[in-house]
Amino acid sequence: MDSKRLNQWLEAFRDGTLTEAEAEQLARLLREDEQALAQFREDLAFTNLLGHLTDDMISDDDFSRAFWERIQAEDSTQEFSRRFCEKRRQIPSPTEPAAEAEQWQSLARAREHEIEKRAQEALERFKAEERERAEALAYKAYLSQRRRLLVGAGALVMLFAILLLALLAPKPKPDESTVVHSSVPITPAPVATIIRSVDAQWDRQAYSVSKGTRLTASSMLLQKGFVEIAFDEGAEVILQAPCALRLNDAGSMYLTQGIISAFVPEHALGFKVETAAGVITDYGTEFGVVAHENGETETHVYKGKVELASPRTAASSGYTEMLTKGQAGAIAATGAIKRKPFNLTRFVYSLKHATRFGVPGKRLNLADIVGGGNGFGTGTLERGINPLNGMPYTNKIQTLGLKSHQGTTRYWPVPENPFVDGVFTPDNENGEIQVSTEGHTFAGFPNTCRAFYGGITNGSYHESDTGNERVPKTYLRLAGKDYGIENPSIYLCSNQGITFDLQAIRTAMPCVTILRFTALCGITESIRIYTQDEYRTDFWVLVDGRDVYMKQGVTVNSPVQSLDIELQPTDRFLTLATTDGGDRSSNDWAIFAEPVLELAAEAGP
Amino acid sequence: MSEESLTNSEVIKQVQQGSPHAFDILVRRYQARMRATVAKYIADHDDIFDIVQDGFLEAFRSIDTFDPDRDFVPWLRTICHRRMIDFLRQKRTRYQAIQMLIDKGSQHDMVTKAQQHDNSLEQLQALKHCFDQLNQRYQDLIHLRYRTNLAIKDIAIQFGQSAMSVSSLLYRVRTILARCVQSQMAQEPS
Repeated sequence: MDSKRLNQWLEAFRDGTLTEAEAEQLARLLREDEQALAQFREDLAFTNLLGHLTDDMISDDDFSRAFWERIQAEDSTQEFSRRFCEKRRQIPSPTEPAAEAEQWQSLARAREHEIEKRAQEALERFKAEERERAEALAYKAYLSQRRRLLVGAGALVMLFAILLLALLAPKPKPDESTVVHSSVPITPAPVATIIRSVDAQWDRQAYSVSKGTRLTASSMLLQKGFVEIAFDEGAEVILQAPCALRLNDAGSMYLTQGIISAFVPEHALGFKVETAAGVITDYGTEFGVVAHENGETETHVYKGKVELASPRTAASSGYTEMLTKGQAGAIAATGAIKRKPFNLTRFVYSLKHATRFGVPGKRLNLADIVGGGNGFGTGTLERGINPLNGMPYTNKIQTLGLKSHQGTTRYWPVPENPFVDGVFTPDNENGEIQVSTEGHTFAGFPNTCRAFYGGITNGSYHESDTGNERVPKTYLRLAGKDYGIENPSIYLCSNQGITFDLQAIRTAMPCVTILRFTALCGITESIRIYTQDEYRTDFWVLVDGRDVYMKQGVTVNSPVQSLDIELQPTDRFLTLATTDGGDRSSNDWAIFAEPVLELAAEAGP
Repeated sequence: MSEESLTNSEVIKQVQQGSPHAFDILVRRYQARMRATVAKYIADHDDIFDIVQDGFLEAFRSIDTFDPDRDFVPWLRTICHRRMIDFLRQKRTRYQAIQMLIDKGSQHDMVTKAQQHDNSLEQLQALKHCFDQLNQRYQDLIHLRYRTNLAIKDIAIQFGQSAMSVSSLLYRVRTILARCVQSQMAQEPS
């Protein structure tokens, strides 16, 4: 083992400048030479330690203060969490010893008591604020009346008449469409209105999601779909389920957990989104916020400017940072603020993007994910992933009918797409082939020619205007239905495979269970424009390297195959693949149409 | 009895008997050591802080299930390691195959080192001492490369040398530091 060479590779590894060949050489060396692996790991650990030599020392006091502040913050949101996701309640199982169960129950009772106490304190504060607000309003009304009195005696008479009418008139009934989520005796004032919703459902089904519904200053949980609300001061916010929040007043909200997208017109400048980690203040803009389960808050600015501010904690002395268009930042639970790569695709910033296929808490569109989206319509059509290197295509591509590529047996991770683990070319040359970054393999693929056309894309089309071939723009089609614009599909010409990371999806959508994978699959009928011949393709679905679906020899004349595969909470990877059916990959225009993961929001107690 | 003289077992019993704030003694006693352990695997200062906070939080939340007569430190270290492995898994790199091999090694450490004494904190302290002995140029080099994560090619421009020379120089300085740390650790057995 050459130490200097290993050092050069180590530095290139840190910089991300290893060439493909060097990365392969290094991986082989580390796999085959235990001593080299130990040395490499030791050197890497040493370089990491060197990076911490000049760290500002965190004292025991600072660390301890941050720790207890976090416990306090988590406890105060525990009531939300309890309703938001029942599983987080650590209820002892019946098999646990009775003493231990009693201990747990006692702990739970103590915590509930603490929550009740805090809720009572919050209620008292709220009442006091309401009293102050009422007094301020009364004073304002008094000043207004005084101005009117000065206008003249006529106005005075009118004012008396109005007051008299107001006293004698029957009390108006409360607006029936007003949602009152809080059980406190004071009914908070409405502060916002629902202006749009798509497949939405609050945690309590009785609450309305209809356009025009007035929302009060209270806490709410969106379990499914999208709701777009307009605050009375002008900000418009799209809530994406699952989302727990509180509307504070007509110009601010508290996001407990979830994803929102805000549009703030100039007159509503100063709109605030508070989270456990800090406050995001708008300066006339469009931006998205993610409040993570671990307390971190991310903000991505599509347009204009926002300010991130973290409160003073042990770890930070209250930082602020201004973000502008195309920038993103995160406030950690510790209060530290750091920049993040900007990523627009995580946010549904217009409900025009929300299709009936991708519905938060209900259905995740895998084709949208292939197109770089979040599964709810933010991906790009005709974009996808290159099976030759795992990198996303940067432009829309016409994949049908393009020249063929020769794949390798290597598994390519897809670091750019959080929900796609990797891509590969199925073959049986080495007996088995890797189908996940966790090392799952599958030995059941047949020998293939490893050639494929195009790449793995979110829909596709063909259009030709050269030589003798003049074909108008033609989309994918199964059973007479077009796929590629309104209806989603993954184009997967034979000899390609893609693995989705179910665990990454679960992590991104807490409190949502993945129930099943469903899709239709077959050869696009648009191939008939070019040939009437039948070419065979095999379709495969694997879960953690086990084949759960396989259909060999599918042609354009075969009936459309309908897939419905149940998934368990422990299933980590879902792989879709096609092979060439033994007659090479020409004209194997295979698609998985309407490929979705069916979801279920975990019900509250 | 002062807090310092309480054993871990006594502190844990206090927490379990309804004094949750006694857990603070354990937080203060082990936070620096846990951060030093994690610092070997994670480059970002804030990430380390978060991982160790998460580790302590998990330990606190499940302290009732812990047998106070067992050794607390390996348990806490296992929790922190698990948090760290989860973090590394989520953080994908271009070199997935290499990262997987490194992570497997980290998991192996988790199993073996959890039961042994971990001297990461002493190693970090010795390293700080050795770093202070370096000349200014070498200190700048280490700072630029490993603290500010400046790429080799950018350091080469600043130092007016080729990238290859900078890489070799870094290797030399690291070797000097490693020897110094080894000698320091031999003098002050943990």
